[in-house]
Amino acid sequence: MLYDLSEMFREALSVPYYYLPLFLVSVGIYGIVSQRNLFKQLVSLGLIDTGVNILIISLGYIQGMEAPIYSAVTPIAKFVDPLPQALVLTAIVIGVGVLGLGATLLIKIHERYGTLELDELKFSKEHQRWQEIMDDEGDVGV
Amino acid sequence: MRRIWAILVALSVLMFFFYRIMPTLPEFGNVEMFRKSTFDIIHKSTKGPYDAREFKKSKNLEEGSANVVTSIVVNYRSFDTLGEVTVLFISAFGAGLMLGSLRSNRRITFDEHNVLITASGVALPLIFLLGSYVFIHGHLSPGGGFPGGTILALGILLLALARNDFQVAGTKYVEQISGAGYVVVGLAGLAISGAFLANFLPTGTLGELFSAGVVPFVYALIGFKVGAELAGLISDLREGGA
Repeated sequence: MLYDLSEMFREALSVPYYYLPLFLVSVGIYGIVSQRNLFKQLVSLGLIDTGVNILIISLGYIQGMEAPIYSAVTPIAKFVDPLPQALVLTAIVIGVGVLGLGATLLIKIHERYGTLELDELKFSKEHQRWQEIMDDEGDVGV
Repeated sequence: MRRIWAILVALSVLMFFFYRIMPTLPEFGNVEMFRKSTFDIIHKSTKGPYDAREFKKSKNLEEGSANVVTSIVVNYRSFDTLGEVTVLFISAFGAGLMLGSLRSNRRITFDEHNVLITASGVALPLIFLLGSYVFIHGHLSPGGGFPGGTILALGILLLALARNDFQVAGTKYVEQISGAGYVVVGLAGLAISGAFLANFLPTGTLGELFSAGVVPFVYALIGFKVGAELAGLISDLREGGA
């Protein structure tokens, strides 16, 4: 049973992984263009981020090689390329920072305008500006 | 109509990658390692000639961590990691600043549940143990400072989900002390070995816990820093700038 599973895993790895990141990036671009909700656009940005990370990792894969760690199982070097993995470690951390800061900006926008839908946001912005002009005129009158 | 445009844009990007970028990529799973500089990094001989390394046998290498990704992240490209930690700090700081300037109090409250409160008391020490194991063994096994710190922050998140009156305090001090400790390790390397963040401790035998010089210390500092930053971010998002 275990042997079958590892065999299946190896077969799944032999499919070129370049197709998965392409798919993820185009789904993310579709989401950014089609959705009018800012939070959904942020999630689409995260999808593109994941797709690019998978692409970079799959550039360093070598058929039949192991994870780049010297251990009791792999005592001598028979490793895939570790440099893309180290770069992706950096990219994941930066992605977390972007996601956290983006979510904070969305909270701020929601506090100010009461919505995250772009159409309502436009309306609410104009409404607010109009109200500010009215307030100013009122001040002048007093 | 917008969806049709979106599908067209996504398809054109897909086509561009498929016909322009894909042919320039190397064949999947068939990269020649001997032509790459990472071949030297794997065999830990960037200065001298190539030499085969073996687990628990090779001693006093130029870089002693068994996990090659760790040896790149914390040793060969350590300055890059210092910048990465700084980026994470700036983003957590910006999030805290922006949430602190909110006008209304958006603190989330919920009904506490006895099962989660009791279970969090049991699970929290185990979560912290796992997190510290992951970052202490970062030079031997998969993991390291960043996942270990994230696991520590997840323990804090569990407490915040279990108790309504839970508040995080003092993450700033942990973060500042560990961030300053990283720079101090770098300056010690400059003073002793003549290069910023150089590995000035003996590297020991490949694959033992006390090996790899400064790498375990630096990864422990990174773990505490990342854990404190993410816990502060969780706390800021929960409190909502009260």
